[in-house]
Amino acid sequence: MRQNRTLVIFGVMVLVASLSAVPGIGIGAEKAQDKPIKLGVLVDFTGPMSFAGQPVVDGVKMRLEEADYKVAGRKLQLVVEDSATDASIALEKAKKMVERDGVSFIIGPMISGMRMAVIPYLAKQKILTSAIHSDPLESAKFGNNLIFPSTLTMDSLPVAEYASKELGYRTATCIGADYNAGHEYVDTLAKQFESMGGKAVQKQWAPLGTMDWAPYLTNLKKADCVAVWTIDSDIVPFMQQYKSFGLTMPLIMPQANVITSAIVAQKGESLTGLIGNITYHYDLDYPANKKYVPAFKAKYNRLPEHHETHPYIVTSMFLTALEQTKGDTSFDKLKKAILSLKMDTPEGPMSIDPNMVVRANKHICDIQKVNGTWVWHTLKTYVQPRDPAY
Amino acid sequence: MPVGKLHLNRHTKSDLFAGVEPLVNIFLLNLLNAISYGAILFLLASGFSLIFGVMGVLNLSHGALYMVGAYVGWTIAVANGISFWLGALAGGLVAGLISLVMEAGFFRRLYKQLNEQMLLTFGFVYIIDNLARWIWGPSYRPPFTSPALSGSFDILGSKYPTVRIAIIFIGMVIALGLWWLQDKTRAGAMIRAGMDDKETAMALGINLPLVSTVAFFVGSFIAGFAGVIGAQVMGVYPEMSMTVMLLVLAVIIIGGVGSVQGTLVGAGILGAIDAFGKALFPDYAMFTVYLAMIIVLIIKPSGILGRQI
Amino acid sequence: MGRAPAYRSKRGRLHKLIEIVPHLVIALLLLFLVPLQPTYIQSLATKILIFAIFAMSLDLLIGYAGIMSLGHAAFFGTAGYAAGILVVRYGVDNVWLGLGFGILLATLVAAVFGIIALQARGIYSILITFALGQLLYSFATKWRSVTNGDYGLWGIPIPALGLSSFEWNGTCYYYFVFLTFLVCYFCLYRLVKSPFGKSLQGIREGESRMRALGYNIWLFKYVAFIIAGMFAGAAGVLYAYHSGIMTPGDLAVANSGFVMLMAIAGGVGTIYGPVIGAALIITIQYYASILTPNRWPLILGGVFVLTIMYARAGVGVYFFKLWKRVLGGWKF
Repeated sequence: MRQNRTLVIFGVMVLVASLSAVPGIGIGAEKAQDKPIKLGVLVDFTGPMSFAGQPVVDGVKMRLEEADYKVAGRKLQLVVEDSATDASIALEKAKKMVERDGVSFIIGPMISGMRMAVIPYLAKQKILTSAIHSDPLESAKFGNNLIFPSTLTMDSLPVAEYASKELGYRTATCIGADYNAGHEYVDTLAKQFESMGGKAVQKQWAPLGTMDWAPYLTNLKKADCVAVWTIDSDIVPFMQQYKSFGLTMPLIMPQANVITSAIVAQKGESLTGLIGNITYHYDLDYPANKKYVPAFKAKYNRLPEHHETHPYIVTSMFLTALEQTKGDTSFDKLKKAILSLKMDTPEGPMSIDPNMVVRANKHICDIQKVNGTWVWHTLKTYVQPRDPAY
Repeated sequence: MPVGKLHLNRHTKSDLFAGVEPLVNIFLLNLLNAISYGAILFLLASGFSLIFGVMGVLNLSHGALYMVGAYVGWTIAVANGISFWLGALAGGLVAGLISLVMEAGFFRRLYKQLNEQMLLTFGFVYIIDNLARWIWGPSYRPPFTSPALSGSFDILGSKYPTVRIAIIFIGMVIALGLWWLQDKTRAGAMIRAGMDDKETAMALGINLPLVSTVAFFVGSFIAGFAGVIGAQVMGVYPEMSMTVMLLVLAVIIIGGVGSVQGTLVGAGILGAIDAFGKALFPDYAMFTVYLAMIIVLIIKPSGILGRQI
Repeated sequence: MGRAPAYRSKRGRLHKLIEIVPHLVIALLLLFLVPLQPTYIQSLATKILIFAIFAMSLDLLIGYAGIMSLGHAAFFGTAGYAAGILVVRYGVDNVWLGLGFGILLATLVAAVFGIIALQARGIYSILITFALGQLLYSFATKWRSVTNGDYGLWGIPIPALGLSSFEWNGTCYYYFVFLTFLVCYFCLYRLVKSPFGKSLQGIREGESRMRALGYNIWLFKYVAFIIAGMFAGAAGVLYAYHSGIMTPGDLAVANSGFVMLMAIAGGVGTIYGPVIGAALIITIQYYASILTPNRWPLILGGVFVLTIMYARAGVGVYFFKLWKRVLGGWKF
């Protein structure tokens, strides 16, 4: 009977699932003999941030392949898990990666909120972790967090400085995504702007997923510029609608990497007039980048974005530190090695401060047509600026 | 070359509301915003309302069908450069086909079990969402439209995007079409009869199962079609099925299900709340929608123009 | 008639045994087998038990009172946030106070929601619960000074038990949750077998009949709503301590749908059904996502669809019926 068959199927599934719980029988249980160094990647493949999950794996894998999955005479193994854009699932997977897989380093989770669920646990277990897209400075207190590529503040400060000092803007009207990161970026930008003598004349907050920007655009007050930040699926409609409403105030944007080079190439026309704080774009003029971009293109048949490049560089740091410790993955030795790093990366020169905050270059860019393609175009580079908060 | 400096000292007329523009303009532009957003919402919700009215099923995967339509439209219009309108039609057709599979393969076997059918659609959301992510990848696709519609209208010295005017127009056409279908055709009469009293309708010889299937197809077609139309403003991305579904529920909660007029009222009110709410109370954008829903649900649970289901 | 009562009572005792044995076996497994597993498995088991309580509370509404709710996570999340805020922002280091405060707040919210939700019938009731849940979700996101917005309220420790020199660890907390689960299970079991519980079932099966008999339908449903909110709150507090972080998503319709999946898949209208459902769904989600980080929602959605189509009463119920059939075949 059909019902009985389904029953049996269910029964077998549950049985198999519970058997994997018994140590030694589980999926991919480890043998005690050869102990490779394990690198964990914990990112979102499902949920709202899923678009950024696979690129992280791509970036990490590229670097591991360049090293032939070996470092300091030991083998390297990659463990990848889905954090499902859920803090409690992220914590569960982190526990599994530490206790069952024995990873020495975890790249991710991506979202700051989820990181705060995982970092304290990892600190207690003495496992290092790295952010992929900046972290708030307070996460440094746990002592195991590599704040890459900078603190959240440094995603706004350079462009605030550029706007007020180089461009002479005195007033700004602000629009931000109405959630923590949005407030963080835009409030910080407004504060920094005001500390340099400017004035934020208006602040508007749009819920995440705002596709219709008409109400906000219609109510924009006049100012020297518009400071805007929201996620990529909202920013492009914003820019297009901005143009189609005939608005011409220049726009400044912290953490403008959300507008990827792919989007710029497609929609560059409607994005002109925007000046952004960029950590990485493929045209950056560094020797390491000139080698990295063609290699990436040959491998993946597309141009690299910050999504892949950040984890690429973090993996690089991990491997370089391991070379220094000669394959020793113990927490104190590894941390010491990482703190002493000075590298030339595709994003420019990088060093690490004692609180594990990375010092990286920030580029102020606008959107121009170069050789027939719309690209991010560097206007000014701030060399390894430091977060004034420490 | 710092682009910003060039504009600093020039007063351009098209800088909206430099404080110098008359109040009428502000009101008019916000009104147009309300109507165009309402048109999108109407397109979203009309299919759902039809399906729910006829079959009594809360099709929680309606938003997912909208998204699939948008992706199909994108594939045709952008990836292959064929006509935008063909893409819209294709989007509708694919969504309709999926609905037929759902109906024949699943709903028919759960005849009259409305709760189970609703739960089934909940499971479908997981599946359709993930399949779409698999086929099209998780990245965001920027808004796209027919070349004829990109650009702006000049209204009282301010610019207003053409696509929005087009959306208002399309919304009106579909609303009229559905209203004509509902009130002036035999098919519409059969549908309304089925909504009011299933037993009597069947006793009168109306083939209700066929009417249900057709209504389901038409409702889903509209969803897929609306997906492409709405993509002119929103673009396409995997998370949109959930966002859209919440909007649809908001519209029918406020306006009521089962009639074109109800959906129009719901969409209109929601559009107005969105446009004027954001203008007047910018900090509370998120709440206004849910608050409106709850107020309506307390005062008149079946919605402002809803039929008692 | 002389022989029948003796036969029936022996049968009755046999039926009781048939019912109790699976309970005992599973309880013993949970008591002794789980703590021997690595800590990440214990953590998973803790999560299952927490969601089992959550799902049972929803079942009280769906399976017994006949109220379908798409906003049940609101009570869960409110309690979790309340407990979290109490210990993180106010430094109240007492697990009992945390539980009490969380459950109290959840009950209050349920009392308010219940009045609004029960105004309407059927589909509109469902929609109201959905809207109320989402309203609370937007509160949690907006009220950043209290809830820390969508970053989540992180750094929630398990507050002190009140015993000197006692330190929490994963296994101890597992036992704590297990004991709480047993208490909730027992309470709910007694509740549904009580006259109140039977009346609820009567209402679910035939409201007009019950009204004709003079029952105050609204009152029964309202009380059920509040009790369900209470137990959901208990689960919420336990979750906050287990997870160490509360995010607005814990209040949203996605979470309400998730727990509904568990209750339905396991079997509504029974007390053990949602427990099995929680174990099933969480286990499948966990292992499927390890197997295929990209495609596991397909597996989960597929399981759900299969359950609705072929095991409508729920997997837990089918297992129990199978167990009864197997035993019933033996001649005693």
